[in-house]
Amino acid sequence: MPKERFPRWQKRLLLFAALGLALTGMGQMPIFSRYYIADIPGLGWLGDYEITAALHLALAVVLLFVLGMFVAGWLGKGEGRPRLTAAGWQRVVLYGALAVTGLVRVLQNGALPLVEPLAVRYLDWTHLGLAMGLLVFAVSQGRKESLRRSRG
Amino acid sequence: MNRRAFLKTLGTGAGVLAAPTAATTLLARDAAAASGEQLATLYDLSKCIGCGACVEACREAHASDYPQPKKPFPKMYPARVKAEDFSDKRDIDDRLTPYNWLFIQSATVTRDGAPVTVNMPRRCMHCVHPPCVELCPWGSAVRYDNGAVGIDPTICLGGAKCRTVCPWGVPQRQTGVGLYLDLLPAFAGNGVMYKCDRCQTRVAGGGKPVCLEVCPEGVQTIGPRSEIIAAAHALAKATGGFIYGETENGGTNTLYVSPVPFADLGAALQTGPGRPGLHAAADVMGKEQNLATAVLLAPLAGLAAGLLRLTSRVKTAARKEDDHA
Repeated sequence: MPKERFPRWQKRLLLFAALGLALTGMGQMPIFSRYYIADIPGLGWLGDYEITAALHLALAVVLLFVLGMFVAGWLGKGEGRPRLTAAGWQRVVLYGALAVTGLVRVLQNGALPLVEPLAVRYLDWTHLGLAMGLLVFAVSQGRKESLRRSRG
Repeated sequence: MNRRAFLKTLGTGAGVLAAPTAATTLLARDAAAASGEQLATLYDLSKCIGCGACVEACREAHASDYPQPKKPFPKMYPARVKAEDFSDKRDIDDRLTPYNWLFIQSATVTRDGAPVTVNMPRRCMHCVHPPCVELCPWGSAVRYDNGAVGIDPTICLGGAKCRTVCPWGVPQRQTGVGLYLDLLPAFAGNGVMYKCDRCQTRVAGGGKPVCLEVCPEGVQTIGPRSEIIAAAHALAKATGGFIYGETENGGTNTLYVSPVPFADLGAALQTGPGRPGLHAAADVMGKEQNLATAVLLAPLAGLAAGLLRLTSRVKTAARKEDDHA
């Protein structure tokens, strides 16, 4: 039996990281405390910016690592790789742009500020907008295959 | 690649992170601060007589920047969300408010058996790595290239995260003003956060912060951060003084030199909302530095792991072919 192109456990890891990033990303805004969610026993950490920011970074490590593996596997297949469906392309664009805007934001806070101070807002809004886009995609198209079925 | 191989590769990645060279390069987060572009200010507190001329000048210079809220405020939900309103208390000048971005904090301590009163002009410290800027989810808190930190009142939604993450709780909120009124005022946002921007407009035009210009005692000086640090050390050495702001929160662009230890001053101060203390503030953003470095290396580690997987597959296929030959 041929090996799966992207093993199921990697896809599950990606889903876990993406859901965690969505939750901790929301936690960067002051909403969990406002709307009593951080008052639910066991969810107090959602109202702690230090914890949610650290978790957002830790989950980003997992997501970016898996995405990197997918990219290497995809490119490495050369001409033999199956074609992407429309949903596949949408996934690539959404995850890719989220990863790039996130990485640029980390660089901005660190050693390599690439964005003018007054333009950082557009970076943040794009990252937030893409996350919302991914949520809409997941709800409406989430079950669609990314790869076209190979013939025969 | 199976789970074990995955974990092994992840372990290799962690090893790379620990390698001093990579870490040093990526952790060079103070490069901008050391480049000479960032300006810092130095307060010689032995000179401050607490006359309040700086406070008065600040209020005059920024009068047109102060909030003009619309009343009544839109009702906010849920009920726990409270309005913060200083519009009827604009005269308050003994703490930070949306209408008072600088105040004089005074404390009397005993030094060598004699009472010593120290007056400290307090405002935003303008951190080198400001948590308010680096953690603002909306991009409204801004770190300018000259080392000053400001909040753009045209887009700030008043969530007050900046105040929560600021080691000194500096930014102050005024409800009933700003962008949130045009979005969902009942359910998101709560006004605009205000604080000292170190007279960004004046400084960008070649001037100096107004508090510095009007001081009759010449308490404050401004210059490239490295020069200000050197001057602070020279002053502290010459007078037997103590420095605050050089290393607090990982380094700030506001250095105080006091004739008495800041721990003694801090213990004698009245602190609370709008009245920051003098604690040894830990480096808020520094805590995340290792994770941030890991984020930057993760895609490369993933690519490397993917390539390893491909290589092992090619080898396995070649071996199988040999077996069948």
